Amino acid sequence: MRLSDIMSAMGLAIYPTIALFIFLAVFIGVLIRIGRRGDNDALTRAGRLPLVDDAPPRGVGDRVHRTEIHR
Amino acid sequence: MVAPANDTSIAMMHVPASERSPGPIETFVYDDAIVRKFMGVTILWGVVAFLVGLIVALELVIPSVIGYTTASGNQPFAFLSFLTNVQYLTFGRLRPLHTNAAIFAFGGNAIFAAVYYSTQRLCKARMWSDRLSNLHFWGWQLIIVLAALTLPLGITSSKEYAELEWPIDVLIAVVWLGFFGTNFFMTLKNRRERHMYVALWFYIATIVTVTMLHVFNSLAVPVSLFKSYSVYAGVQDAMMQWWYGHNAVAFFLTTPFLGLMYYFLPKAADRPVYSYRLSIVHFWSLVFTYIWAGPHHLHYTALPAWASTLGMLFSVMLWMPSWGGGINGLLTLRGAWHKLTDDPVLKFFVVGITFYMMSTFEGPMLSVKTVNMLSHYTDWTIAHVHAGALGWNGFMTFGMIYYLAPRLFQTGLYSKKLAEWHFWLGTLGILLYIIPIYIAGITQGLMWRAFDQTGNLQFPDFVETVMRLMPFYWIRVVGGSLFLMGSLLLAYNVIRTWMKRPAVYEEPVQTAPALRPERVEAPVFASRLTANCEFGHKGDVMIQRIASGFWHRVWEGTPWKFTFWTIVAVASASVLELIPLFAIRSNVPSIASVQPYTPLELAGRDIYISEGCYNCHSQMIRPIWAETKRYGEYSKPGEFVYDHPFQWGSRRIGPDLAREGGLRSNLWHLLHFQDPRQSVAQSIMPSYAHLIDETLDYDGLTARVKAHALIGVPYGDAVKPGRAAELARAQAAIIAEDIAASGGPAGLAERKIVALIAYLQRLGTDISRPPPTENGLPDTPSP
Ligand code: HEC
Repeated sequence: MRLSDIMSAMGLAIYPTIALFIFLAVFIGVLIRIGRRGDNDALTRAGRLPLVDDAPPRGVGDRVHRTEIHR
Repeated sequence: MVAPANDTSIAMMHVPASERSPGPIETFVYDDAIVRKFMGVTILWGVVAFLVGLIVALELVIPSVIGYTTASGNQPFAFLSFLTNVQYLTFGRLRPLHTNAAIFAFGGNAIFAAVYYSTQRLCKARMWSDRLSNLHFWGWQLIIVLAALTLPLGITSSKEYAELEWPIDVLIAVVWLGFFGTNFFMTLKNRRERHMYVALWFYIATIVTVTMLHVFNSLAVPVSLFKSYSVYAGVQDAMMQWWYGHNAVAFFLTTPFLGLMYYFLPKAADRPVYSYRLSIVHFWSLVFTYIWAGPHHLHYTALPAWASTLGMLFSVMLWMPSWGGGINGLLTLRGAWHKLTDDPVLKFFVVGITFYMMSTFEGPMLSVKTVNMLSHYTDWTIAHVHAGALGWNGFMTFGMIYYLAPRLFQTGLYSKKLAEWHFWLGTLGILLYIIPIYIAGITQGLMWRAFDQTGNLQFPDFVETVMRLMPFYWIRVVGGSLFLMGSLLLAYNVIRTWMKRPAVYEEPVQTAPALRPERVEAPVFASRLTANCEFGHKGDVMIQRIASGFWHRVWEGTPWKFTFWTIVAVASASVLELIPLFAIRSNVPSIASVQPYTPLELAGRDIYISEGCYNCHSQMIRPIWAETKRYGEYSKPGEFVYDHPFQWGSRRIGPDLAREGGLRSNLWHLLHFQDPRQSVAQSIMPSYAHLIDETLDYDGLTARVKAHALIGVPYGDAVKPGRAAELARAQAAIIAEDIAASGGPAGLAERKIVALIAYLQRLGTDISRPPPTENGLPDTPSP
């Protein structure tokens, strides 16, 4: 008896389908997470991280990042 | 609300105010020297990749003009024939060089430049180890140089986008995970900003998934330093390959470039990304769905239908998050569209994202089986890929470079005007590439399946369908040249900018408070149920906890948790998709008459692999009427159980060869390989005359047979010393005699060409053979 005989007898074929549902469930979980209110401040701040990370070196006519916050 | 002046972490929102004091202020300097290096080689390898692309594009058109003779008897284009007959330059060998250079040299170094620049800034920390940064840089360049040497020499595993042989594969794993991964994760660990910005998530997913894909797809048994055999065979090898291949698109050409987009676009536009919430969905849905999509490369092949349907479903689902991400990028420019008129950086980004959206709309469409039935094996796929690679990866990279060059060289950009020229040349180049190639693809697909009134194929002669594409191929050459010219302008512009650099680079000292150990308190929930049921109460609390999203908040501030769950997502999807195919017998029904290749055929197969014939020829007949009519009985999964690696191919520039065995005489093949145009006047196949001169290494056959025996191919006594060579010589003598007897040259028995012919004559013949009575090799191979 070979390994593949044993595996074949185990009826694993249903698992990809089950996995499909698990993955959808997690997806919905993430949707809920972002749909929640109350996180606005934290998320707004997180979204601004790239704009507050760096002092521009000389020579670059770089605007100092002082954008107003959009809410 | 105004952003807090001293940026404390968002996880602190949950921390009692008394404990919210920031850590001691620390000072540090970013390592921009490493970013300068990666940016420089990105441009260099970009030019090389585009140039090799242009050469292979030319190789498909010049065979149709080298024979052109003027009225006075001159052949003005004859000098170009070296592109079709110098073995190191043939299409089959150069095309992998082009794809590898574009993806891993140009794309790879662009990713590294983006990661090294943005990670340091988002983490408010210098890269963990300068030594690892440099080892990573030089290690990766070494890999590229080795690729550029080995591929033209015909040293290849033949697995698309993973062609490099095993020693280089080992090196890739070390450089990628050992140097790059370690450096990246240790920088994350030592960061001074609690929240990991979304770009970093994309980098995490890239590093862990590419490692997994690379290792599992590349598993092989070495025969020598330059040769190995995939441990997987046939259907399973195909599945592994496209699980890898599609996820290379996902996790090498998509996720890191999305990280790039999420970082550099807000910087260039000077406003935060449109919706941070959307970026969270974008990330997880990509990670969760992409990994399943691979089988859409194998519709209607011998792959079991459940696998390819799964691939189709997930591919169609992918459309949503991809567009969500694209829209998120474009809307970042809300209120700033006017900046587009005079900022080349933003121009490149906007067009790049537009191509991302175009490709991610087209991709799901191509994974629908009925569309795929037309598009598969045609140039449609090539056009799709180039919309993505030139438009999305290329333009995002160019945008980043124009953003970075003045900052890294601490001086103004040499010429904004040249950058504008680059933008327009590039855009026009892409359009002149993809539009004709779309037309070529659809044209060829339709011609392959066209029937006339009598129920016969309307274009039974394959080469007729090739000739029809020549005008489009010429336009592609023009488009590709424009794109290449654009990249030369970039190189010139960046070099001139570099020449204006200050004598000493300023290294601004940054300050940030050290990260305090995390003290996040989970919100407490009470059951809202009134019934007296313990299980119900627990359940309600759990639901509230999940719905609070608090867990994700924690992940966002804890790299190892985030990484762990990313690995769980990609690994579980892969296991669930791959295991049934490997473990369940019914997925690859065996066929009694299918036997291992004889040692000589095996040697021929290795030549086929080494020459890269799979770049032009498929070996997989789909169960479609037009196809069985043209090529014969459709391919069965059981026919490929000894194919380490599989040779199904993905593009038919030439006809399918799955049932080539017995179709032509040995002499026909010999003359055809010597110069295809003496057999088929309009052929665009390269000449393989060198195979007629070179001698076959009969003594090396035992090692090859043994390697196969090791992975389960029943070679019987052929593994005994000298036996393989003996069997091979006997078979070669028959073929050589037949060639001489039919009027061809004599004395070919020791030449490579005989092995290749033996292999071709075997292809697809097993299913019409009676099953062997005793186990062992089929005794008399067909001449
Ligand atoms: C540039 C693409 C290209 C490459 C690379 C290439 N071929 Fe071809 N091949 C073609 C085209 C186009 C045809 C059809 C015209 C012809 O018969 O020459 C063809 C035809 C053939 C045929 C004839 C099929 C038939 O019975 O009509 C065989 C056999 C063949 N190729 C084998 C090979 C082998 C083996 C290699 C590798 C050593 C190879 N080809 C590499 C493009 C290619």
